[in-house]
Amino acid sequence: MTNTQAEWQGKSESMFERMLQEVPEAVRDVFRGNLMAILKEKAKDGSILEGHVVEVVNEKVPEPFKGNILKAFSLMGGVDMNKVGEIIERFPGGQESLLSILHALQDQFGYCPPEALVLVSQKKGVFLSMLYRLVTSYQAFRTEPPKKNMVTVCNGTGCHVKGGGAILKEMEKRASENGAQITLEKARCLGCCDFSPALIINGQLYSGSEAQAKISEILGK
Amino acid sequence: MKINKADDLKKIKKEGMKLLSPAALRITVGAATCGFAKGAGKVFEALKYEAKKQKVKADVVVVGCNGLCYAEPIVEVIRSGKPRITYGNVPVERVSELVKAIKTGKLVKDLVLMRRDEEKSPLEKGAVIKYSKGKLSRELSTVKEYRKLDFFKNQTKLISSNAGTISPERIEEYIALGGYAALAKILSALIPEQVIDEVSASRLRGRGGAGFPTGAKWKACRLAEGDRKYVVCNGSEGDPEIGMHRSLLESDPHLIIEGIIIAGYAVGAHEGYIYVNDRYLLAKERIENAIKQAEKLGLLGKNIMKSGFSFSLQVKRGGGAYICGEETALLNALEGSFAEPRPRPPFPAQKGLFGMPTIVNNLETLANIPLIVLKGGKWFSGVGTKLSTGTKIVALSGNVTHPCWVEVSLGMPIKSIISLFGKGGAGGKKVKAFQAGGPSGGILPAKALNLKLDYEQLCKADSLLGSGGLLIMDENTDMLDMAKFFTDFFADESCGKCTSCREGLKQLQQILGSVMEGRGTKEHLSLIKRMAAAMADTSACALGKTAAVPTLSVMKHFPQEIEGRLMVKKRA
Amino acid sequence: MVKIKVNGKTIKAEEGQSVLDAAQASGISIPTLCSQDALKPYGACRLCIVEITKNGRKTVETSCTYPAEEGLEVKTDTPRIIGGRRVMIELLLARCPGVPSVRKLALEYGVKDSPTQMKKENDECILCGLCVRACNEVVKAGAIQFAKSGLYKIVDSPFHKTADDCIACGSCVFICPTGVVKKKDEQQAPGGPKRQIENWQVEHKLKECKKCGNPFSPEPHLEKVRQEKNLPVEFFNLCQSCRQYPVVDEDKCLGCGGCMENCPMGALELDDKGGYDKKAKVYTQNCTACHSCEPICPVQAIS
Repeated sequence: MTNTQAEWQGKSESMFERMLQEVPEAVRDVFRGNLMAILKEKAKDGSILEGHVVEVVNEKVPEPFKGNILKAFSLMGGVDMNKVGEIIERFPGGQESLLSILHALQDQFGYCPPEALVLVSQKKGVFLSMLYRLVTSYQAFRTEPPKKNMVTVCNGTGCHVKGGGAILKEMEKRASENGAQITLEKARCLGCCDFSPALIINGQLYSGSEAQAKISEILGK
Repeated sequence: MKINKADDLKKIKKEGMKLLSPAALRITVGAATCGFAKGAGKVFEALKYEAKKQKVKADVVVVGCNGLCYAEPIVEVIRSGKPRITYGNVPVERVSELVKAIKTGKLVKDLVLMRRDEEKSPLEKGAVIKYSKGKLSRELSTVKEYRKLDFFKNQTKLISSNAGTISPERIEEYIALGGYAALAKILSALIPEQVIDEVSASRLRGRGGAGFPTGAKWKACRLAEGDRKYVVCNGSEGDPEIGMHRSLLESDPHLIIEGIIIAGYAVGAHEGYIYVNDRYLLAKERIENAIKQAEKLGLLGKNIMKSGFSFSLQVKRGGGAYICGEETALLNALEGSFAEPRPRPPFPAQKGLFGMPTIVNNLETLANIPLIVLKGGKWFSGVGTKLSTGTKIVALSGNVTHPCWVEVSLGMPIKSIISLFGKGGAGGKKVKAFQAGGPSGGILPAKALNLKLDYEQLCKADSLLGSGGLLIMDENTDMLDMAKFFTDFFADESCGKCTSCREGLKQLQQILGSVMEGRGTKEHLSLIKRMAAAMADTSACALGKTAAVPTLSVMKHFPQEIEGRLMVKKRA
Repeated sequence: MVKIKVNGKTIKAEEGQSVLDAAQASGISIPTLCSQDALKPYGACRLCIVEITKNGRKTVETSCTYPAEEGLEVKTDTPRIIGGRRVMIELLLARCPGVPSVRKLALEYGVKDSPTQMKKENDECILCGLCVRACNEVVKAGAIQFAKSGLYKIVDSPFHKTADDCIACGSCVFICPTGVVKKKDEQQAPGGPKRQIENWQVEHKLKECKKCGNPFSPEPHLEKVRQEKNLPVEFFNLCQSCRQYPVVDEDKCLGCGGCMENCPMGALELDDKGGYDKKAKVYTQNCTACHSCEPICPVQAIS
């Protein structure tokens, strides 16, 4: 079933397809139909915009799928300063609003763009140097866009004890290779002690042993 | 509708009961983060789809986590008059088979874990829900009743009793099992000082690490002067092996909300913050939705239950710093500043958030409050041991057969926890060592397994109760590797302010690296001891003070694993 | 005022004053590398540790951050404290072997060098934070801050690029205890006299005095002061030496007070000379030599 009879603006169609990937294949077509109807209603007589797809994700998709989808969306584009302005408006207040704003920027763009931080500094009356300190000292924030592949290794003790240390070393080696398209992160606990040692590659959870077999395949090398 | 008095609560309670024990059918899926990781989300969608397809009229709903992490995805079936049946390890492919069985009233025998004949709540005497009415069929009577299973028989489920039973998205179900009754009680019958008295009488101690008496902390804040006061709930859960705050927030968010409002009433605060670990997106969503529901019913916000007391609550997402588990670093983060501990004195009870009197309580500490208010501090002080009252949620992980989380009375021997709940070392291997309370707890040898899980005994053994994590290491674990792992952890998380912590950890890392590469000497070890003493004395916070503990504990309890790796000086 | 005991001696302290300040005011010396009178205490170097006994409980605290209270007992040089300080010095020597202020302390404490088993680095920054705190608390330019955290902590300009908010005042250079923050003033440069602070990749022109032609302060620094104090645009055209304070000829002065009313800085008062005689007096500590008073005087008593 295709998405014909709909005008798609920008990346909205690929965003919609990416969203549907989170739905089990068996029920995917049902969801496609329902969600298309919602999108068409939002678009009224015009095109379906990227913003419409994001709205549907925010309104209809529960966690943890929502977070995965939004993260994937953020890796599809550049820095829209209007969006940055909207985010800043969404969190009134002074310095106490900063962490929330940084999270929102990271959710939107996949990282905290320097140009966005300059605007935050101006609008919130906070020194740019302080913002730089916040994004570089809190582990949640990135100052550069993430690379093509996102790998999160569970560095929890439970996973380490079951061989997680070796997995981490290997991923560190691969990530530091020349031209490696990997952004590597360590998580303190992924919450899947039964799968340990656990790691997430591009949104999919793998158990260490099965991941090792598939790593080359997944990362395309 | 808004809840203005206790009677209104009763109305909602009835509605909740109808959902928990329906006339028709209720099918629940255990869907917290651990459940989702094992496919519970897909199982949930498949159940809804199959129920519709096979024309089975059922309320298919997500519930939280009951601690049986190794048996997820968990699906439970509740039908009028029959015991609640629990299925474990349900794969997506067998959902249609399961729904077919449910439709025809049959059991899928190989997936059945247990049954539950009645629901009890620690807040009330007797059964709150009687699932099973009349005589059991022969088939059902072969299914083990959950209270006979080691896993549940040996737990004292006080704060986790709702988890896995109620939907975290339905406030009525929380109220049905006694929720918000404590809040109603204090707003109509107790003055703040009386609430503090009950908490003091309970001898409840902070469940985050230090174990400071909660009543004393609240009293200090109540007496402090300030234009306004704050309650901060510490849900940062930074220890690298646990997810209990996450499980509680995802399974029973209203319990935390109620605890915070009561704390606010007690100390005179009207604003509260819940600081949540930055990775806990599902937990954050559930607690935010729960807050909206509570506000809608008038249990949060202005003039709660027409008592004149107002309280507002916000959720803040952390920045990913372990150091924010330390209360003053957490306050800095809430203020939008960098994550570094503040010098004390002044203490947060006098000068905390935005310079105002603030209580910072661990999430688990606050979860105990509604219970203490309803059943009394004296009752609570009878659980656990004399100095360590109440229960503790313990996350069992590592080389154990069944990684899980449980709630036990304080004072339970650690050996029993491992055997009864974890079912011993994984793969039948012997337990060589364990760690309690997170990285600051150090690594203890198997002979310490006789220790009881409480503040005093663990402190005497140079360990700590801390967050309640219990990590099991088997005979194949390299103790030096573990010492390096925890040292690396502290090095990653140090804020870097104090010379002692920052430079000390740098040197510890390189010394352990040298020993691991066979270049270690006795001088390296004596340097470690000297540095560790200085770090413990001079560092500003617990991270720096205990940063050398993992290494010291391995040197003390497993000396052969370090001394045996030192360079042997060749005799001239 | 409160009374505390330091090394057995009872001394007076102001309520809330740090134990370090109170001790130093009474002539008891406690070492420190990151404390400064003009700045709020930070507690980074950990050298000023002391043993504090309060209500029978003894703890080790940094004296720069601990507020004096009635009845505190402080010990500044017990073996435990000396031992702790020695380890701090060893750690700092391992990190910054060439820093003179650390070497000096090492000499005082009998530390020859950092132990051979310690990894040696060649840093020059001890992360005391004095530069950051001066820039943010006193100058309030906020040009630099700590960045990253833990073992990777450094002092940096935003994005490790030119610190756009830097006014080149040089406070960071002045306050740095190791000399790693440096400024370079060039009088003869092709574009005109300039100041460089390489640490923050900053370069600014130095203002040249319209009268004597000497370069004196960086332009952005002068502009910031001018804006904050609401001074006229031409105020900093003259350097401090050339800027002359007004002198009142008391023989000519009528005591009308016109100059006093017109003074934007409140630096002129009418001094009572007895009887009905009042004369204008210049208070140079408030005077910015803007010369607004000179043309106002009806009898030209001010020059």
